[in-house]
Amino acid sequence: MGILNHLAAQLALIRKISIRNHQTTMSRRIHARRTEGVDKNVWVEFTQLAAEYKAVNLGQGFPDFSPPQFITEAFCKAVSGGPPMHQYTRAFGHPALVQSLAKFFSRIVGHDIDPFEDILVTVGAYQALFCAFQALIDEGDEVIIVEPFFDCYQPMVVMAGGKAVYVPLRPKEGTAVLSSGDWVLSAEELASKITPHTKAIVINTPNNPLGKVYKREELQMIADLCIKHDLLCFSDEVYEWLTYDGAKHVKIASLPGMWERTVTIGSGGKTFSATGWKVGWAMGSGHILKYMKTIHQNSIYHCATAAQEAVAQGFEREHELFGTPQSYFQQLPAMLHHRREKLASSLKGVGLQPIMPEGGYFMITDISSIAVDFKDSDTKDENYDFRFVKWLIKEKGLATIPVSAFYSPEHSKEFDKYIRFCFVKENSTLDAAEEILKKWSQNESSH
Amino acid sequence: MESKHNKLISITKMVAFTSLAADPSVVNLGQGFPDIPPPSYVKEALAKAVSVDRMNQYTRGFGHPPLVKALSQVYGHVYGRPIDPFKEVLVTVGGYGSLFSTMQGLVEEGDEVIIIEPFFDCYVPMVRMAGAKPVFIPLRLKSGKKSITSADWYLDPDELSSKFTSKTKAIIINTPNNPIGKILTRDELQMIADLCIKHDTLCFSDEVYEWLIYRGQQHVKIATLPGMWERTITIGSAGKTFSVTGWKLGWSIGPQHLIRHLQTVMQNTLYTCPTPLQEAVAQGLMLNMELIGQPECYFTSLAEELEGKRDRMAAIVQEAGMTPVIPEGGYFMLVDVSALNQDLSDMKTDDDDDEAYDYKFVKWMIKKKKLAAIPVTAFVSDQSTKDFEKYIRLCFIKVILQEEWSKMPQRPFY
Repeated sequence: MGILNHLAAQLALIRKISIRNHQTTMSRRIHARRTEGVDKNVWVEFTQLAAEYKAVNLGQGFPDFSPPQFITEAFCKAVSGGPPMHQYTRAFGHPALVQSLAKFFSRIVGHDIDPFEDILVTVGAYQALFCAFQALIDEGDEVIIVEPFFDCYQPMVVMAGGKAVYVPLRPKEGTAVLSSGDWVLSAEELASKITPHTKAIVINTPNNPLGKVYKREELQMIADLCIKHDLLCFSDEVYEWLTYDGAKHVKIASLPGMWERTVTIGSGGKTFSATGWKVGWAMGSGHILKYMKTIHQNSIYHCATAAQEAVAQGFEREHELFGTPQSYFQQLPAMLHHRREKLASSLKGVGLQPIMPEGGYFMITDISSIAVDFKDSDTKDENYDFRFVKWLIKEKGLATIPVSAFYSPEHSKEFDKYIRFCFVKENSTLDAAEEILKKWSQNESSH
Repeated sequence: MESKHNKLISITKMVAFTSLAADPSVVNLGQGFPDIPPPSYVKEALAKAVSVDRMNQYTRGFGHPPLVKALSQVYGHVYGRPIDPFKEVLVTVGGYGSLFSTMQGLVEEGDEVIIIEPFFDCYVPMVRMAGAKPVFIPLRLKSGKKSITSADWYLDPDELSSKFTSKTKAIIINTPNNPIGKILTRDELQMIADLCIKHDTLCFSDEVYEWLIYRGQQHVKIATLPGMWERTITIGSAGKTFSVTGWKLGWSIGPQHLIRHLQTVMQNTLYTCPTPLQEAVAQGLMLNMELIGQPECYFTSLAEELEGKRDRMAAIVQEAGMTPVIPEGGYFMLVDVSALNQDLSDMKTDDDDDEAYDYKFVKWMIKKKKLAAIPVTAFVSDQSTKDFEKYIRLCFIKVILQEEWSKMPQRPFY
């Protein structure tokens, strides 16, 4: 009996060992190659850091105040609606939402938008971007990206098998660079980047991180090139309602010849200060949108119903109140205008020079005048602004985002002396940030 | 204009049938989602979440911390092993989103992926979109038996073994199965596991119907078999768990060395899932975690409610002269319509002369009998059409299948 037990135990042990050998990673490469080179993500990295150090968070772009009451009420109403509110809705967009979007935007774009052909609802503007790149960019296609750019454009181009070609916004010669309007695109430089392989150009207006709001003439210049070279245009307009100092947001799709070649991307999250709802959309001619629908159908298929219903109600309300003082699209930029001023004065108060954004959520500032001794040897191979931002989080408890994250690998070292602040925050948050900056500045001057 | 992906099927067959069945006088047992209300506490949790400021803004990309922690607790208990909420769990847009992240993260050109027929129809386009080749193996009916339950369908071991080649990257299994309702037994899972280990392949286990298990049945997770945790992605669904398909939340669970590639896909596709919905699901899971083993636990009470509907559906089908295949799990039932011997020569098909019998039958049934179903050949490859075209799929998580069915004036098929 003892021998049998012993043998059984040996067998069990042998089996355990052989299983353990299988427990190491598989002998072949596991991951798909499309995930190579796109695995680093600035948001994942810095959001974690800000949370870990409980920093005053002016980093990631989301409001720390609540969405307007009418929109949260609309969501609650949807939740208490009948069972259909909790089951699948139309895959390409909840009918109430696509219809209210079509109605609202037709008069802005100056084109009769078909709710079922010309609109695709997505899980945030992020997924709309993904569908655009996957549907319309092929191996070998070139995509022109204007720098600085929202960081996801580059890995999305790579994942689609395309090649990113960059053209930077540059500060105007000879002027003191005080506003995002002073950063411009050179027509010659842009034209020089176009080749027979160019498929599309990506623009973002108002721009993240700079805050530039492209003027009509600037968009016309881009449009002329798109038409001349038969290019597509992906226009990321998530901050479309947030313009300051009288700057006007112009939709490139409204320019002659552009509706038929433009995908315009919008965001319920940025529109209604509810980034966590993840309701976005792509709008454009049906003959382009249909390819994006195929991608959507084979990746996500449906978006959450109740959130779409709530955003639909939000647009119905705004349609009624458009242009009036009660419109959220008037009230939000007015409120943020003050926050923008407040942050700018805090930064100037400690000798920093912010670039005043004409639109959007963010303000960038040059940090080259500040001397910091990074004792952190872990980060010594990283760009200066990355090291600075990490130091600022750990040592001062203030979270921002390094601007070179918004530049191509080729150019990031040229623009590594700027950091980005989000001012879409409660006054108390901005006050806390000001305290940190003041104290820091006092410590510096007392040395 | 378009990219290579548009060689994919651009309209799924479901979409085509949805418009036919949209007529309000038609009883729709085709669409695979509940029309029963979800439990009130999940709706309340959602409304409550929306009233908390922070819940309306971005949360952690790979999954809202309260949700991944709840998943780690519930599944840690189910798997009998600790699950790291931050490294071994990814929250996605429905089970569908998990399938997509898995394929994009782990499958590529040159790979083969084994798919068991009948299969949830998105597997094939997703495998193709990842650049790989689907390899099919059908479930087969035990011979000499008039099929009465989903357990009568089996995988032939030699046939399965022959499908594994040096190019095989993964096998996709779905248990309980949509549309048949078969639950793979421990022995069947062991057979699949042995092949995965022998050929060093991955296993993608779609277990969205994991709680819908009927009396006498047991759901076994292939990831719990020896040597399988390290090579398996297991997919679950809040929509199916809490009868809230319109919330579109799901999850992938697996070892860090696999999950991290799905996370890479996530951060380059949609970045994060909606916050208030994740918060509400987390609360629903924690609540039911406390109730495990008790009659109020939704993980078991829903299955009990559905078993009654299942049996009622089977009786109706038999009364109408057709043969039901009683499912061991899930909320679908296969129905063999061949006994009716229905003449469908007058069902003119506009696009496809060679349309399968079940497609024609469903169209006839919608038009003449005011009852909608889904043809089962929508779930199989062309080579298996002949074996499945006498079946249609009915969904029984429907209000209409309540006790008073026989008293209702609107009774299709009569």
